[in-house]
Amino acid sequence: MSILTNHPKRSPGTASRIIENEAVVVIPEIGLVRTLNEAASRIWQLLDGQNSIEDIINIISSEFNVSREEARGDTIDFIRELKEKEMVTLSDE
Amino acid sequence: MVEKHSSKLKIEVGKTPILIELNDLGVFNSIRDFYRPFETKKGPLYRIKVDIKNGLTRSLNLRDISLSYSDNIYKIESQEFKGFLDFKKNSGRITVHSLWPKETLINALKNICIFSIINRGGIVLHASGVVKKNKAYIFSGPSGSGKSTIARLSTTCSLLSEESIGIKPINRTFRAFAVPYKGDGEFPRRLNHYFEIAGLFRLVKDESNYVKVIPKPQALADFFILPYGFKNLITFSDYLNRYYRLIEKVSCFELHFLPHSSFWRSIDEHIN
Repeated sequence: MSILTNHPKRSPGTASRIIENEAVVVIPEIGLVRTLNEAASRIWQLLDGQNSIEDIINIISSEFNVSREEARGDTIDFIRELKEKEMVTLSDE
Repeated sequence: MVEKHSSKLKIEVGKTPILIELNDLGVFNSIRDFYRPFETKKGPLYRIKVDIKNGLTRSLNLRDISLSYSDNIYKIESQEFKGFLDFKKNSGRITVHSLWPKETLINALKNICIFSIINRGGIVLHASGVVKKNKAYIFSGPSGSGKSTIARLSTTCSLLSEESIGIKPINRTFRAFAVPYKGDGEFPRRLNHYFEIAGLFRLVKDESNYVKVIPKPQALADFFILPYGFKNLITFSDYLNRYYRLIEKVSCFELHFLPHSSFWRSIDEHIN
């Protein structure tokens, strides 16, 4: 399955709030509290299991007025990072 | 020989009146002065019986405190005390096995108060708090960041606590109040009322005094503390939500300070 058709979802073990367009994410199990910038926060909001990675890339490209290639690179890198920290699960898991 | 006696003390912490009944007159007299600012005539919500016993239990390491909550019962245990609070029956018991029963009892009651505050919709910050012109200034940071120093240098202010501050939403504002802590007894002026919060300050020891505003997202990350031992009482998400509402309403700053009361000039310039 291509990564772009994957529907990632925020891990149930995280808690988060959006404040002034930025997300504050808490992972209680490892005691991590992290703030995300505006673009990362928007991606985080879209990780609801309903949006594919391709959908997310298109939304980010449109809302932040960046090229699709730039949005693709940033989105996939960010989701990979979240996956490594177990903050997100992928739909093929 | 220790006199066995039933002595009663009614205190109020965070608008929660608690009746403490001790079987030891000596310990009762030793804590009476400490809790004097918190004494109340109100009917108690919780009744806690305290047994003072001699010696130490050896079941846990000295530093371990075990906390648990299930079926409406909060349990806490350390090498020096064991206790529970039943939220259904509004009653509890603390058994103290310690060579320093006064300090141990104050510590045990502090933990029970914290649990009660969280159970009743509030949050508790690991922070010192002082009151100036009827407003609370809250200073937060890890151990060694200067919370006690700031409280001690604030000689023209009254103390809420040098270690634990409770916060609750009241009448659309957030109000801070004291959670009694053993070190607070050394301060000459202590208060037990609710105060509107002038600001939350994250402390940074520095070579000059200045204040800078913390953006709200960073403030939420900086001030939020994962509640230890409150699993089953409140979800992390709900607890984070409480901080979120607080940070939205209250101004948050970073206070860089010298170990001198001159830092108040920087605060006053920013707040006023």
